[in-house]
Amino acid sequence: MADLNYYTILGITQSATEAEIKKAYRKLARKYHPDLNPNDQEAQRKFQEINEANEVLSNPDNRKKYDQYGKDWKHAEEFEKAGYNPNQQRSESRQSSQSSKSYSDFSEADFSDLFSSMYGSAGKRTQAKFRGQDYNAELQLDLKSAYTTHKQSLTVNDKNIRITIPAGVENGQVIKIPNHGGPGANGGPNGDLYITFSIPNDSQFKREGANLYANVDLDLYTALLGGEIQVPTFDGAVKVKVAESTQNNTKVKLKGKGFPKYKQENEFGDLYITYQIKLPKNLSAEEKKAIQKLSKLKKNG
Amino acid sequence: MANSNLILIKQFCVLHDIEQNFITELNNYGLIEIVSEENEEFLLHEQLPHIEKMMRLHYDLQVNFEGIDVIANLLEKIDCLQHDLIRSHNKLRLYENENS
Repeated sequence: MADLNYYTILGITQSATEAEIKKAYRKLARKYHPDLNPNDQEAQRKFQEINEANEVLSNPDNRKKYDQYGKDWKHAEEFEKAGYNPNQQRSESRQSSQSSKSYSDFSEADFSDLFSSMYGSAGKRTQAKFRGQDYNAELQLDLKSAYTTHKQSLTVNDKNIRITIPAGVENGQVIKIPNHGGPGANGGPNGDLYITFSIPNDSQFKREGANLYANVDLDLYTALLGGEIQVPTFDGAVKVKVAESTQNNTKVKLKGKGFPKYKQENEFGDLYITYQIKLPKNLSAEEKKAIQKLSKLKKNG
Repeated sequence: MANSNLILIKQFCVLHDIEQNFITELNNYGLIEIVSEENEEFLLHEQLPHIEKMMRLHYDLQVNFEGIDVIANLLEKIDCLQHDLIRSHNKLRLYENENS
C-alpha cells in the first residue's frame, strides 16, 4: 500500500472523534466491501486501505503512535529506545513518497488484525470463523485446447494446482475453484479461486457460443452442377453434398459440427458454412469457346 | 444427519457465533431455504457461501434485512449483466473479425 495518510483514506480530520472514525469507516466499508464489488480489484485494494486505516485509528494507542511516527508507527518503541525525535520522524514519514506496504507484503498477523478490527465492530461474533479472501486469476487458452476437456496445472500464489477445464469454455468466462483462495481466519474455510479464461481465436472458424461459422470456397462448376466437397470442421474434414445451382453466399448448417456445449457431454453446437463461389481465371481459348456456346444457348432460350 | 448435503442450523449458528433468529429472518425474507426433517431444521450445503456473504453484510457492515434483500437482487442482476456483457463482447469480436 502506498504511503497514504490514514485520516485522508477515511476522509476525516486529525481531530476526529472515535465515533466519527467508526462512522467514516462503516460508510466506506459499505461502499468498497468485496462482497458488494465482485471481481473489482480496485475496490478490493481500497477496502484493504480502509481496513488498515481503521485498524490503526480506531485503537487509541495505535492512533497516538501513528500521530507521532506516521507510517512507521509499529516501530514506535524501537524509535523511542533509539532516541529518535518523534516530531522530525513524523514529518519525514508523512512526506515520504516511498511505498510503505504493498498488499502482498501483508503478514498473517496483519490479516488477523484486520479481521479482528472488523469483528470488533460486529460486537457479537468475537471468535467467529472467517472465510478467506477470494483470489482472481486469468488463464489463456487457444481455441483448440478449449475444444476438449483437459487438465492443466497452474500456479496461484506460489501454490501449484491442477484443474480440469471443461470443453466448450468461453472467452471471458469465469469458473470458480472452491477452497483455493486465501486461508480462512480462526479456522474458517479458505476462499475461492476465480479463473477468467482468455481464449484468442486464430482459427479459420468464427465462434459464437457453441456455434462455429466459416466461409468455404466453391468452384463454379460444382456450384452449377452440384457435387460433393470436403469441408473442414474442428474435428477433421467432412463430406458435404452441394445442390445444383448453388448461389454465392448460400449458408448451410452442419448440425452438431460446431463447438462442444459447456458441461453438456457429447452435445455440440452447429457449424454454419457460407459458400464463396470462385470464378475461374485465365480461361483457355477452348474454355472461352465452351462458355460462349453456353451463353448463346441461354440467350436462345 | 441422514443427508450429508444438509447442515443443522443449530450447529451452524454455534460455529459462527450468531443467533438462530438471523437464519429465521433470512428465511422470512425469502433469501434462503430451510429444510425441516424429523423436527430439526437444516440448511442446504450449496447455500453456505451465500449465507456467509449475508452474514458479513449484516454483522460487519450493519446492513439490515431489507438492505440484504435489495443487495442480493442487485448482485444477481450484476451477475446476469456481466454474462450478457461477455456474450456481447464475443459477438462483437465476431463481426469485427468479419469486417477486418
